[in-house]
Amino acid sequence: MNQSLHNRMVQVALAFSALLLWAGRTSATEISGPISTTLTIMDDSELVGDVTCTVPMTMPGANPCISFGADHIRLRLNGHTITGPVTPPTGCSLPPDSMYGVGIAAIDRIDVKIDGPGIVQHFERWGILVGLTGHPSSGVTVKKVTANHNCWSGMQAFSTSESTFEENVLASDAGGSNGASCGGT
Amino acid sequence: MNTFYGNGSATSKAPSAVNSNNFGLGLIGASQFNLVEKNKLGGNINGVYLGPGGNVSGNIIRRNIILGNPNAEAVREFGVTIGADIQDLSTPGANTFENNRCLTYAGSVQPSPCPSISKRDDEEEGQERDIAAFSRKRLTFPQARLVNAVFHASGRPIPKAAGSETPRQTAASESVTVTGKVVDAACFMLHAAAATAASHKDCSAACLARGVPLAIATDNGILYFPADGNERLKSLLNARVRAAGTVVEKHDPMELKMPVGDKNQMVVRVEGGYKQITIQTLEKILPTKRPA
Repeated sequence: MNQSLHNRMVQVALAFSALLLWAGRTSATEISGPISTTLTIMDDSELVGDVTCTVPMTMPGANPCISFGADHIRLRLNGHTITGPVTPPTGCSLPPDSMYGVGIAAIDRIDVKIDGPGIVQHFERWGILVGLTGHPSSGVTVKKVTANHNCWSGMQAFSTSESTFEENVLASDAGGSNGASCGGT
Repeated sequence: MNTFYGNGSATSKAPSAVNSNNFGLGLIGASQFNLVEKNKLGGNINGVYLGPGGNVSGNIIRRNIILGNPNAEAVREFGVTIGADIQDLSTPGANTFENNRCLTYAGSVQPSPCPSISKRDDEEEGQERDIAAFSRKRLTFPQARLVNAVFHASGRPIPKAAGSETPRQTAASESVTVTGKVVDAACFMLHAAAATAASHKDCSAACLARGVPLAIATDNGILYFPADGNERLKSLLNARVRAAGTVVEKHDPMELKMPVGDKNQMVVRVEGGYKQITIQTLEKILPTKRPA
């Protein structure tokens, strides 16, 4: 093989490798409009419009509108609203219910972020759910998010460590907690 | 700072319970070693709720404003025991309450953390007060005034001094000889007396190591910033010097940055102009012995 051909092959290989690397990086997922089955995000994502959630209660545990499916990613709300299907106290989850609705879930996750401003409201149980017993989360940041008029807590953290909840507004939640110990966070 | 308003429904009060279990911010189940700091909680059934069971421990609740929990209407409807600013069902002594502003406490900690309507000064508040005071009084070098002072987290890019590279306006230079002390300029502008004190030497050295601009402060409080940065002055920090060179008046805004702790920087933005000296000769003035 002469040197020129070898060099050309190396160049082609490098270009192909670069193409593969570039193809592996997807741009941020844009979210808006109605969501009727859980949207699991695997990369940085952002709302580009308001979201209306009608995810049915089909699975034991949380049936989130948006769920973090990967570590080290971020969801930007960009000033938009995520609205669930109920208005407390009507339609709220009861404590014995094994299936329940939440707005955003970050369960079993490390280093994920929810960036406001934005509103998460009108969900059957929690607006935002971080961690779950047996499914811990850590390094979670929730910033500048407003959670209001959710049946139970605006934001609920289970088995969560080394996390930061900053500049959030939790207002008028737990209007339909039906005896469960709930509130803002 | 988070804000918790109007959370909880009084109707969730179980018939056998003295207090409602709803809250603005709740630590329940196994909630340990959390820091709850500088939040505002009002109009909730309980402001902060620490649950029973012995696993709510090691938490620090400090410097929060927890007032108006529950709201007056809920009190009238259900009685005063429906909630409190701090509802503490945890083991006495297991958690720490410091410097909260609150009125009602239901729990076993003695002395009761509420009512508490005073706040103790701390370092951060002192800094904020210094900044406010600084903005009210004239700076120690002519024409300048503080227009903003903000905290930036370390690691974020801080804009360079706007006038240092491409001045829009520069007055004609003049040759002068300047005598004064080499100081940490950012500190000098906030605390002129402290910046020139011997006790500040270690602090200013630490600031220098982090890139704080140095300047020559004359006896009448005028600052001269070297045109070539800290290089020539850094070995003379806190020493009295005599510098000869050309001085120009800069009119663009300038930002000085000063480390605050390990994580923050304070950026002092100055408008109104400042003096910049291109040093040609520089000498240290040795202290003279006083006559016996």
